Amino acid sequence: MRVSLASAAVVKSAHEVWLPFGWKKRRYALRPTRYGLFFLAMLAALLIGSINHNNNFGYLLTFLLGGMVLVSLFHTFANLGGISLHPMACRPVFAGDTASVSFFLHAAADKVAIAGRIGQATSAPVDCITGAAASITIPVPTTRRGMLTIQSITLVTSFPLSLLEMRTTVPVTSQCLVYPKPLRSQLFATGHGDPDGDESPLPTAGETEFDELSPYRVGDDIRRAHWKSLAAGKELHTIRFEQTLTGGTMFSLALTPGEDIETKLGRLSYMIVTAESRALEYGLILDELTIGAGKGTAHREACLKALALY
Amino acid sequence: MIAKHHNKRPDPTAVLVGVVLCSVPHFLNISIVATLICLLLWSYQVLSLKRSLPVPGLLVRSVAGTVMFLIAVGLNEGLTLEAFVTLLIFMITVKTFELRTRRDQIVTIILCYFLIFSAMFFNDSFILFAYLLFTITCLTAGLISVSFAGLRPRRTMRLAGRLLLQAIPFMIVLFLFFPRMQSGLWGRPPVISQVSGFTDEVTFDSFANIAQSGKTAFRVTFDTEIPQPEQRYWRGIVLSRFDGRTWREDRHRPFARGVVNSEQEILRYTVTLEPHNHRTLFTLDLPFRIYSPRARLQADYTYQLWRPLSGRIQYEARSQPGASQRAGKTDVTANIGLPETGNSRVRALASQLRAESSSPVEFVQRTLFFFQNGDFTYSLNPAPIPADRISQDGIDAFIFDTREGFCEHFASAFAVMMRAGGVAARLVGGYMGGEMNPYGDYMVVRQSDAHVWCEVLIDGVWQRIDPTVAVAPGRALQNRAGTEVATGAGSLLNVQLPAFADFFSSFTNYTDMLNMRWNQWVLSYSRANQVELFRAIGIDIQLPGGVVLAVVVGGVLLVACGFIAIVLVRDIRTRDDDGATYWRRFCAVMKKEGLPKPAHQGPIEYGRDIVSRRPDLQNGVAKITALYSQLRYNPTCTEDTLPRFIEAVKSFRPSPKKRQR
Repeated sequence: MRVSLASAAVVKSAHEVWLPFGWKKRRYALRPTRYGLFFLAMLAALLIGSINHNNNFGYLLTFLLGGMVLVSLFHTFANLGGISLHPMACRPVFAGDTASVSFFLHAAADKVAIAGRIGQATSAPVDCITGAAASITIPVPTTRRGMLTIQSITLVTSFPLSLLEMRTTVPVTSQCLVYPKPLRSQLFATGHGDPDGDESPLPTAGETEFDELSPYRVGDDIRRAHWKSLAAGKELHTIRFEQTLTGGTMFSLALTPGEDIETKLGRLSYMIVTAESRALEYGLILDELTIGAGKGTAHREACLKALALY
Repeated sequence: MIAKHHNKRPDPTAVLVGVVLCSVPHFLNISIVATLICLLLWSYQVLSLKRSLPVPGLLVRSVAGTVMFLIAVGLNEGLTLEAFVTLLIFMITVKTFELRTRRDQIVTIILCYFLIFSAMFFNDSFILFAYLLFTITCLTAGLISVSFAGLRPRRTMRLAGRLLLQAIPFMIVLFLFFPRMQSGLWGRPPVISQVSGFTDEVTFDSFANIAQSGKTAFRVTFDTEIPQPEQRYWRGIVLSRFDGRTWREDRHRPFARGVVNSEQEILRYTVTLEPHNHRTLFTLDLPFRIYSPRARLQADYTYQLWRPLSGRIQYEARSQPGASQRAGKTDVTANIGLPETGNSRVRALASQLRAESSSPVEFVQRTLFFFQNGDFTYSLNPAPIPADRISQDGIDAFIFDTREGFCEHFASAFAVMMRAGGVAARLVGGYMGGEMNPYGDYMVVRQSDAHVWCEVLIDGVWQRIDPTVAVAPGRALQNRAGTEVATGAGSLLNVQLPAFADFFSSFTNYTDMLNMRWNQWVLSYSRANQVELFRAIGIDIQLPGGVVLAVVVGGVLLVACGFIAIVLVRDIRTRDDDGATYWRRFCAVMKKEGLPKPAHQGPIEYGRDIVSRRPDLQNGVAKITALYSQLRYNPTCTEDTLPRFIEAVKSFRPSPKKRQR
């Protein structure tokens, strides 16, 4: 027989107790759901009653229902087997946000209501039809910047009776970039090619520190449009900053104030986001690494990635 | 895509159907008022499925729940089993008004399982079991469809049916091998509550216990010849003490040993007695042996259990219909007494009859003649005896005024007359009759066959006298179904539909036969059978300590689980298509070559990896990985992609090339 009790240790976390067992090289764990506990309590009452009355009719019903739960276990097991997972690209997030880690599910037979789980985060259950790919998305909360690497995910299902829940851990690698959480700050920057230049605070986003509004002309950056004036019934205006640095602004780790490196990175992250939203040209200097001035989504992501992996 | 459809709000119809299915068998057990309330509430539910009707709020539901609780208790004289079931049905019905969430629905379905199981407290027939199987399948389908709302109803039903069928081997194995205990964990109230026609005392005017029920009292299979109808007197209890109104059993009787008269014919038979909550067992007149460790023979040739019978029992017995029952030493004194006063006219009549007779035998004959010709009427609905005369002069009133009654009246009056005339007499309670079932070779004795007759002591021998037969000869020899509302068939016979009645009576006989087999083969399975079963496979479970038993049971269960697991594993394996199988074969080959596939790599990446390390395998590996990724990820791959892939894997031989190098 190839069933083996792989480990006597019961996997425990804060709220759950799972009964583990092994199958080939994969490990499975099992536990009743709350409905399952209710149901098993009912079965136990039925069994005790049958024993007390030595009632064969009661025994038949108890064993039939118990047998059905037992058989359903094998259906649950079959439902969880033969699934292959393929990670999907994961959109980077800022630390503290929820990363949507997605996988394609492939199965040789129809699967019902499979949910993915990473830590405590669980996806909505999906069906997997033979030949067609299904996808699960697990909302994983992030706390720290860097490369969030997922080594394995847990597949969970309670099909068919929803009384017993079985899970198995599937090794699959997925990575998600986590940018530093933006920390509100002024924009500290140096002019292009003038690393030793004066610190020149740039206006922050929350305040109205633009100098003037000029009527919108075709070709103006739409991100600098002053929507409020349009909403107020006037013409569309474009914001002109005092300090529109044509040569580009360089944000530098060395020049950013902050108690520790994380704070500094957070502020830099904020500066990059703000600069990009104002369509400024900006660059980044991180010790030896220098990213030249530029703008656009790709540039922004390159800068943020450099911060994340610093 | 289809990601969230299991989260959609499930349809409450499945739950409602489950509730109705589980409640229907209880309509026989709960009162009509409760049934009507349920029907009313369900109709409201069904209507609200079609158009939106106001859903009662929490306050209304609480008040309604309290009122229904009071109704349930009030209708059933306190907290009886019927009240419990009524309450459960009400509770579930109220619960159906709040089926908003999946949680509500699942909990309701689990309660429904509980409800349908409680039906076994009222009936344990084969038909109920079949109905339970059907209901369990429906409930399970409901549970699945509520939990996974995206599944089609047909699929849930099929799945539930498959679960049920696959569970049956488990049920059988567990049923056979689960250790049975001789006695329960604590006291056993009777499981099946049913109206018995038999009582262990006879009160002169009580009509309350006249059994009109066609329910089976017991079934008998005969190893020897079947006795003639006039011999079918099933002795139960002997009543010797009379207080002027009620006949009771004499509790201080010595135990006895049965005596066999070798010249007489012996009847061998097996009785399966339904639980009646008395200690009495029934045997044909006159028994001398019974094979049951729980029974003991009394001096008056009746058998009694140590405890009231709460579950069905089967026993083998021996009787000699022609044997004479010799009186014991104390029998005369115990069976002659009458209350000092009361029933003076009957006493006078008896004295007169005795004086006219030359012998006790003649006295008996004269008394019987009196009953035959005294304008007595056999009636199950006799005119009531005036309340002021019952306690003292009840027999007087019956014999001289009402002259209507049934077996209890005639037997009682006859015994009183015998005693008044100086002849020892007593009452015997039991059943008279029995009908052979044409579908199975056995006899059914019904509750409506309950009967009381007399025994008179003449020349030191107890003689059976049945005064009821003297009054109504037909009552004894006729099939009871024809004269009383005894069975379903009986009531239909009265409607004069002979063809349909024939069909109905054969239907009744057939289902009774099924129930008999069901009782015989399944419900009567006991520890003794279990011991035999284990002995047959070479294990003596009567060894000291239940260890052996525990080991065997555990082993059997494990083997059963393993068997199912293996069956299902094959199932899982065959589910891999050929593509996956051959891809795994390729990966296994490469693993042998020292290049196992890392779990995170896809086929193309893996192929590139291999080629970078083993350039000599370039052709084969590139072809295989390209074909495999086409098979897996390219929807436009043609029909011959798979065969080409399989061929590529089959012909892929890395090692020889390596050696050639």
